Amino acid sequence: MGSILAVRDLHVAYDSPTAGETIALAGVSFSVEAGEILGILGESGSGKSSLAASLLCLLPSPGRILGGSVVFQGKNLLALGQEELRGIRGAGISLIFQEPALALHPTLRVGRQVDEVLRAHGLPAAARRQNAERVLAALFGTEAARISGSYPHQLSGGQRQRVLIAQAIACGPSLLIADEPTAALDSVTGAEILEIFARLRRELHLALVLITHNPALLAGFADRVLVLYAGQVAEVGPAGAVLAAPQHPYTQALLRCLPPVLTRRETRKPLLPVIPGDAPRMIADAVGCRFEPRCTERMEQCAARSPLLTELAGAHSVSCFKFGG
Amino acid sequence: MRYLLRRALHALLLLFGVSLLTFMFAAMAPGNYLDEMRLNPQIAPETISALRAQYGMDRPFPVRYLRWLGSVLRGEWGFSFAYNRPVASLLVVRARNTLLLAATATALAWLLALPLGVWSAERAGHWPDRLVSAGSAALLVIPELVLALGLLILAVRSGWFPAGGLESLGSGSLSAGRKIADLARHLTLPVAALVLSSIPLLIRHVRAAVAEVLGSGFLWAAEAHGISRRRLLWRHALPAAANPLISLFGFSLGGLLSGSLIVEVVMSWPGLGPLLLEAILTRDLYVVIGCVLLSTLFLVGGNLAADLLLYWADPRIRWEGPEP
Amino acid sequence: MEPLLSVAGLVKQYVRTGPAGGSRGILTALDGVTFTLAAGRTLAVVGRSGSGKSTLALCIAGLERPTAGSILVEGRDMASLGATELRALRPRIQLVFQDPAASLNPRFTAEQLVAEPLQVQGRVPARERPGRVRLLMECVGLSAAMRSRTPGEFSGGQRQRLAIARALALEPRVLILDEALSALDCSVQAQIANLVAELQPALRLSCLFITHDLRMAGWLADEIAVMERGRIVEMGSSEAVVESPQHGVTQFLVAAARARGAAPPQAGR
Repeated sequence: MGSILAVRDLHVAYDSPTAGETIALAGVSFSVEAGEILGILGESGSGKSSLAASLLCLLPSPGRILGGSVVFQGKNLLALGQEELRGIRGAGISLIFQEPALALHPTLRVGRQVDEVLRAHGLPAAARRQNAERVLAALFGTEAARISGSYPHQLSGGQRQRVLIAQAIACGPSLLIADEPTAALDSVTGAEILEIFARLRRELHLALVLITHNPALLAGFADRVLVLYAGQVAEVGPAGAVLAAPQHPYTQALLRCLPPVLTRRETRKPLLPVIPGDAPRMIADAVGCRFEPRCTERMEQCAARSPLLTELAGAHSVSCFKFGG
Repeated sequence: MRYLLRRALHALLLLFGVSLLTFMFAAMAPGNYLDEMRLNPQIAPETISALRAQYGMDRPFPVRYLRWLGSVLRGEWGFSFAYNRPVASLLVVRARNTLLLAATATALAWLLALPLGVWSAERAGHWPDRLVSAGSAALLVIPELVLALGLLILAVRSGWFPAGGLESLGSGSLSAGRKIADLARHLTLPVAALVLSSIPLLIRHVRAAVAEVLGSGFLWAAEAHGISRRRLLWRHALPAAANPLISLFGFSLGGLLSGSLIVEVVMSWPGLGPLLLEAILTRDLYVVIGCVLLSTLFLVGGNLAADLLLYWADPRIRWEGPEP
Repeated sequence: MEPLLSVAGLVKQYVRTGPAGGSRGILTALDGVTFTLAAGRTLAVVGRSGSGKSTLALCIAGLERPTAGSILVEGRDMASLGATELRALRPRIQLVFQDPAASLNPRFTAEQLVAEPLQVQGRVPARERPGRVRLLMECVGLSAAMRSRTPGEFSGGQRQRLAIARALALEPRVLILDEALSALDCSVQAQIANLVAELQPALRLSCLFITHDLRMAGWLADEIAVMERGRIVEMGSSEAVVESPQHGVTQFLVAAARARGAAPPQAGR
């Protein structure tokens, strides 16, 4: 199975009048295989939202793509013209925006909003109607007709998220990028949405890139996990390896932060182990490992230069001087 | 339905109140229609007294008001001293002319303001935006009166357009097509004056409303679905920005009868404006009240139309209370 | 000993109105909620969206008037209090919201935000306020040097600390955290959870922790109440609820917290 998406050395920066140039992504490379679920684990400041936007060349204007390539089905998306890009958005690669409440047009009915996506890719009226019905039925079952005639403000958070998914799969893409799809939802509804993604992967052989800050979402769901810290790949590998036996100090510290599922507690509540310091702010000419200021295992060389991604056993790579690089 | 009935009731009460106030102010203002005649030595004082009695000017105020109210209900709307006919017949003709002018100008102004405003908002900060801003600022500064006079001078000097009036002499004998062409030529300058004076405000509002919507998440998400920029602007952004514009449109509708007074007077357009002015100057009481009342009616109707339009256009307004 | 907070049979209904003012139906957000909260303890209220947890928080904080039922704070019924007495009671119960960006005025500086409750209640004289503000900010882990920054210049976690400092300004007895951690990154959630866990014994606070995250609830709270459709369907000590959940909703929440793959419960059970 070949990879359908190959990102190489992506560099993204933002220009701000007050802070000058800040680097959002500093050389990110990864690939996505057909039909796989890749989880990108990143907190605030990791550059994950810039990543999602840059893949489809949708960075808002203070952002610039400085370099790198995003190859999808043999073509570099960063070098394509507007018309070709428009054709791929929604039909080849679909992006599911972060906040369902904000991602839907407030005064258009849901059915019409799904229709707009189909219309943008040139389907005639009859085909549009069929596709829209099919996709809404797949996500809403018997309620599809009622939902189709509703407005977004009449729907619950989970229902809105399903509408976004319907829009995303309407034109039959091969890759779905979901940016924090469950952040605005409670845990039960979030689990339902993940269940939908799993079903879509099974039935439509869709590849999914799930961007989230919550490691618990990826356990048992993603095939591979990529940990993003301060615009660089800290660790990437099979989900089981990265989540159960993390190698990068940041991943280890992050996973330790999660409260354990309570079993028995005799003594006073212990405190959660936290990562000291704050999220990194990326300035243009930073040298050294980005995690070094907060790392409990830092060494001398960590401040001098940035470690490279080193492969360990079983397709598990880490960028840390503990393993070379 | 209950909502409409309530609004209608409010409107009726408002009109009643306005008519009462106008009547009071007009009646309390010093002088009356017959003052001019009194100054004329050729007219005997007895004639004037007789006229006074005939017009009922010597009756007490409440009686006069009630008689007038009765006249309104009968469809006459009072009696004009100057024209010697029921006010209603005067108003109908003049109002029709004003509406023709104002409706054409309003439609044209909005048709121009929408694309210009949307274009400015999309290119905010760049030269198209600055150009439109500068142009509309310049127009905003020029008083309507000056614009109208300026256009009048243009008409007189160049002879391309008639210098006022509704139709040329002898136009009654023209064919239908020629009549319309003649009307159009007469309409051009007054409409131009109205459009030029009202368009800056409209452009600014359209630009502001669209610019606010342009940063929204749903537009970005729609772009991510591959929807073209043009469709995004016109079928997604503009409808989402429509609320303040619909209210503004309601004001435009409401001001249809009253907003064109200066232009009508300057360009001798036989509408409500000159009629009202003349009636005020000659103390033709019932004409004044009739004009004011008609304008109020339009204002109220325009507001109601705006509210209904808003209700239809924005589904969020139809639902109050917490979300499901 | 009398419990600090005692809620009995709390009912809250909303009437949905149409544009003409007519009623379009009744939404029952709370349908008879009863529980008590003792001094110094933490109660977590867990449930899905729409279960009524946030409405509960608003009613207890006095921001919504319940349709029926009673809320006793230190033995006094909130419904029976007049306006001035209610105003005097408000400092006792403070609320921290989910979205710090929305609940903090973006134009105020940190100092103004934290000093505002002191100003409004008028119990602290003006010259003592800056000192108090500095103390409060240090208490929540913000350096006093940050006091002239506006909320936009803080990170998410720092904003939430600011919100907590502001809530603590009036020395409340009960702190309600309405999904206060849900919008934060995991590592930051841990920091804020630690902060609350430290502050509680130090300030003799009782905590009402509203969340949909059972893991955090289990760790932070002494007792857990599970809400579904406006009612408490299960309540007990954290260990009991997490180890042997009885109700279907609780079982699902626990399963979701432990592992993936559990099917969602049917609506209406």
